[in-house]
This record gives sequence, structure tokens and C-alpha cells, in this order.
Amino acid sequence: MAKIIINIEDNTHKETYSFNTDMVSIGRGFNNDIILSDPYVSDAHVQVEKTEAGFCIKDCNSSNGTFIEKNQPINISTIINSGECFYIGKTRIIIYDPNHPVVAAKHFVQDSFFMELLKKTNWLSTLFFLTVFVVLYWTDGVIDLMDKEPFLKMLIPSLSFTILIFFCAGFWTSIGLLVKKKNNFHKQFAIVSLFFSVGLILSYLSSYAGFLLSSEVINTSLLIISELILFFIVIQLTLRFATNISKKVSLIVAGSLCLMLFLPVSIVSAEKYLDFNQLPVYSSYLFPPAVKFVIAKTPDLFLKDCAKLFSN
Amino acid sequence: MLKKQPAHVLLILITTTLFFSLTFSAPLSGKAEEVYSHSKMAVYQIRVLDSATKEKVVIGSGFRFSADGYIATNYHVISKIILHPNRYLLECLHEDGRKESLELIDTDIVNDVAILKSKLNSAPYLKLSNTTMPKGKRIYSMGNPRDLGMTIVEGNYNGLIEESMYKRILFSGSLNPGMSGGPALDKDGRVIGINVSTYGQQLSFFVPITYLQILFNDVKKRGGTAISDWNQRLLGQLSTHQQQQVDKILSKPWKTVLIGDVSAPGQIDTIFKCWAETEDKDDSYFKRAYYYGSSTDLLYLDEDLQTGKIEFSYLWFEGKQISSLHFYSILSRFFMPYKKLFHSNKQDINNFNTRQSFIKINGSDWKISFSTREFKKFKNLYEVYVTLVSVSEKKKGITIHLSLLGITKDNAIRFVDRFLENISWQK
Repeated sequence: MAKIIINIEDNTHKETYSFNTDMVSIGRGFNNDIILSDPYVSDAHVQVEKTEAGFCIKDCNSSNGTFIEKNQPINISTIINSGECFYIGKTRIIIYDPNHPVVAAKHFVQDSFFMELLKKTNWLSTLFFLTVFVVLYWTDGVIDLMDKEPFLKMLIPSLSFTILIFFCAGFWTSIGLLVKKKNNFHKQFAIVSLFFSVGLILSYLSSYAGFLLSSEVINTSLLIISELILFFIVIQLTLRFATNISKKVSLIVAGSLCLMLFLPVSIVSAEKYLDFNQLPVYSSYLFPPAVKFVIAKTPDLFLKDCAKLFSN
Repeated sequence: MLKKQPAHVLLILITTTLFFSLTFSAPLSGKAEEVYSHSKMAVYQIRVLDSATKEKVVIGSGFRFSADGYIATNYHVISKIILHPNRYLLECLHEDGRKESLELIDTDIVNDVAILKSKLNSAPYLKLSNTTMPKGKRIYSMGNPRDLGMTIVEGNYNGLIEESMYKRILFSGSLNPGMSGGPALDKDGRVIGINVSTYGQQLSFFVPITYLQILFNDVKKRGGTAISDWNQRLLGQLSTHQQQQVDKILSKPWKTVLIGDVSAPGQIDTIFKCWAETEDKDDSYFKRAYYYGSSTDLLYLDEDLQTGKIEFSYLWFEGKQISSLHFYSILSRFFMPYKKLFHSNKQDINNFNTRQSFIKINGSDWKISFSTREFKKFKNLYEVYVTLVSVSEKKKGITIHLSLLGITKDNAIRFVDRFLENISWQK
């Protein structure tokens, strides 16, 4: 029966070891019981011994020290209880007694509902997302047509977007194959196709808001903000499935990408207001009369308001 | 220089004129030679020179009409001198090759007339005519087309164009670039008008000589001095003109026109020319009807800057077997600002300010956008651009574009108010 259970965690992975001995040595050298590749760990770094009082942690005169709390190296040895941890180099080590009560079945990091859904993707879900995507883009193309066109010709715009999502999903899958040696095509396809589908719906919603509130500024800003939030979510999801980087790093990468995009996109959109423009700028998207959210002004009231546009 | 005439059209114009004169032309009066020799010494080429290189930038024609050295030409020939006084010089070339620098005295921008002054005290001049004449009379136009030398053109007098805000004499003869500002003469060599523009084959226009006389009276009243504040002078003329134009249009009840199910302003004054067309293609998602009305004349300010025009267009749509979302997506395209209307650049005009809202006109819902921008040189004059679209029906709708160029704030609001009053759904 195991006497000591040791849990090792670093940035990229975690592993559990169990030992029948009372003493376990940890370090970078080959004569240790647990060999770590952490460059900040010494050849013979630390020894864990099971005693009556608890687990005794003995630092073997390591270069970088052993820590219970950050910034407080231990003096030669200290006693910790089952379930407590200490740090050497960049690695966290948790020591368990085999009789340590088992934690209720719960993941160490709880995945979101959406992540759980993504994990269940397969070729059926890919087919579903593809269909949703094609229908959306086909509709978007059709409602812009002035003249009737043959059905196949109407499919062309959605087909070109389909090629694009296959390309993007394929790109991230290959990154995943290279980095994680794991094929995540269905997950990546779901993420990318949802990005384009939701993006299209968001663009309609922002023009609808612009239409109702009679403001091109509202339309443009809503469009930029919503699309960037969507882009942020998608980049960090694809990164997490394609690479080993932690949630925190993926959030930072996606966030910086969005910030970098936000500036040029806003400047380009603001140009039509700042620079000389031959044409007036107003929201020209129209939607069918539905629920009346906005009260129509009388012409007199509207013109009184317009009189303020003149400089004198 | 002659207004708005592309080169290829002119070439056709020249060749066809030659062809016609060789074959089918009415017998010439034989007076041309007499008129030419009588007038040639009083008709000049007017040149606007670049002050740095002293090379020609614009050429036109002009004629001396008083013993004390006053010369008439078009505003559009010398507009650069007024708008950019430090960049250009003004001179004239006599028939015998002498050159002489001129002073700009006054101008009437609305009627396209300018008065210049020569320092030569004794030179032949042309007498102005005060009599009217019947249509069909032979008349003559002189000028220096395309810098080729002084020429005379014979044609027929075809009366005054009454529908225009600014009166013009219709001349059935060919004017060419460079002849602008030259005199139109009767058989006795008296000036009846000033060459101003052409509209294609044998269709040319003169400014009636009365406008020169009115302007000259102004000059004489001041003692012959030149205008010092040109901007103020032009602004005054443009403001008065638009005031008269809007007052005239608003003084009467407006005619309306039915386009689809919507009744809207039609030919609201005699100065408007209106056009309409309907279209119902089998492979199209909608039936549509188009109506366009525009005041006939455009005031020339500078090469890229025109004003004085009032213009409106309607596009009626009726969807065929399409969804309401699809219908409004198509309608959106025609609610956008209409590009062809605008030619201005940022040296001349400010950016647009826009207000947009839903409004209720005679019981129906519309979406309206009202935009305006001010001229930089002519303060208090604006371009106003209004677009309207009906948003009450599911598969029927109309977009309306109205543009008012060179108008004051009050007149713009008055005009748009009246325009909106005259829009209603007829069911």
C-alpha cells in the first residue's frame, strides 16, 4: 500500500506519483525518485519523509531553495500536513497521505458549459454548424439581390465564406497537431463557424439598433465592440484547443490582439467623420416595420432641430 | 472657354457644322463679312495668365462697348481672378496682335457677365442694341475659338428661354470653347447678347444685353471704380438670387405628382424640368417608378464649384414575391446618399452636419435625414441635402432625395417644410 502520494504541477501539466517508501527524493538528477525537468530545480533538491508528526520536508542545500509560502524559503526542514503544498523552482508539489479524504468528484478547474459542449463535437456537429452557416450567409446574400438569380449562383457568396471557415479551422487544427499532437478539427470548426455566424447576426443587430435610434455612430460603435468581443472569445478558445498555453496566457494574447485591432479599426471608422467627406454620413440601413420602439416626430419639430445644424 | 463641353463633342460639333455648311445650310445672308470688318477691332481675346509663368490658363473673348474703355466678357472666363486674386493676371489680345493688361471692375455671377477696363482711351467700340427682334432673324457671334484666331459665326435668333430663372437667348449656331464672352451682333453690328454656353449641335446661348446694361449702370453710379470686396459682392448676388428663386417658387400652390401610391411635389415651378420612367422587369424582385425634377440652371462659381440648383428625385418600389426583410434591404440602397450630386472639394466647402429621425407626415411613418454644409467663401450659404424613405408598408416604399444648392438657412427650412407638407400616401 502506498505511503506517500505526491502531486506535481507546473505550467503545462500535472502528474500524481505514489510511493511505498517513507522517504522520497525530488530533484533534477537521475538518482531521484521523482525527476523534474524544471531548470530552477537542483540535482538533489528536496526530500519528503513521512513521520509521526506529519510530512517532513528537508531541503538538500538546493540553489534556489524550497518554499511553503512564496518568498519564504524553509530552513533545512519543516513539517507539513497531508493536502498541503510546497514549491521548488516553478513547480508546485502537494503531498497526500493515502488516507486523505477524497475530494468530492469535481474537476480541479471547472470547465464552462460551452467548453463541455465543445468537447462533445463530432462530424455530426460539424455538419450542423456548416448548415447553419451556409443558410445564414445564403440568406444574407439573397436579401441583397435586386434581380432573380439561378439558385447555384446565389450559393456562390456563401460558398466562398465556407472555404474561408474550412481554411481557418484547418489552420488551427494543424497548429494543434503540431503542438499538442491531437486532432481537434471538429472543435475548431465549431468555434470558427460560430464566429462567422454570430458575427453576421451581430452586424444585423447593430444596423437594426442604428436604424431604430437613427444613428450611424451607434451602428458603427456597436458593430466594432460586439465583433471585437466575439473575436476575443474565439481567439482564446482556438488557442486553448490548439496549444498548451494556460487560460491566463490565452486571455492575455486574445486581449492584446483585440486591443491592437481596436485602434486601427476605430480610426478607419472615424475617418468619415473627421476628414472631408463628399457625402453626408447617416445610417441608411432599413428594416421592415415591426414593433414601434421609437416615437416619430412631427415635421415641424424635426425641422426646428435641423435649424441648429446651421452655423448662425 | 465655354462651359461644360467635352472635347470629343466639340470635335463632332465642328465637323458636323462644316458638313452642314457645305451642303444643306440655309443661304447665308452675306452680311457676315460686313459685320466682321465693322466689329473686329472691338473684339478681343481675353486671357487669364498664371502669375508665375505668365502662360495662359483660361482663354475667352470680350468686346469693348464704351468710348471710355469698358470691356464685357463672361464671369466664368475671369472667375479665377476673383476667387484666387494673387495667382492670376488678366490681359487681352487685340485683333492686330497687341497685348494689354486689364482691370476687373465688376461682375454679375448670376447672369455670367463681367466688366473689365482698358487703359486705351481711343479705340473702336461696339454699340449695344435696345430693340427686340423676331425669331428666325440672322445674327452673328464673334470670338476666338480654341485660340485659333478671331472668327464670326452666323446663325438664327430663336428668342428668350423663358423657363429659366436666368434668361438666355437661344442661338441656332455653333459656339466653341474660347468664344465665351464674345459679342452676339445683329446685322447692323449692334450687340444683342454675350456668348455664354452651348448645349450640343447648333444649340447655343447668349446672355441678353440688358444684364450688361444693368451692371454697367451700377458701375457708372459708383463712378467707375472697381469692386474691392469680391466675396461680399458675389455673396450679395447669390443671396439675392436664391431669395428671389425661393420666394417665386413658394408664392404659388405646388403641383403634385402621383408616383406609386405616394403623392409628392411635381413640377413646382416653370423653372423645373421633370422626367419620369417606370420599370417592371420579369427577373426583378420589384416594380419601380422613377421621377426626377430639377431647376434648369446651375450657377457657375468655379471649375469644380456650382450652385443655385434645386433638384429632387423619387424612386418608388413595389416588391414581387419577396420577403419584407429583402424588400427593405433593397430600399436601403436607394436611401443612401446619391453620389453623383456632389463634386465639391474641401477648399470650397465644409463637412456635412446631419440630423436623422423618424417623422410622421400626413399620418404615415417616414425616416428622414437632413444634412447641410456651408460654403467656406460664401458664409451663410449652404448646400442642403434631404433624404426620405417611407417605413410604413411591408413591401411598398419610396425614397426621396432633395438637394438645394446655395441656399440660406431660413429659405432651406421654409422650402423643406413646404416640400414635406406636399407628401402623402394615397390609398
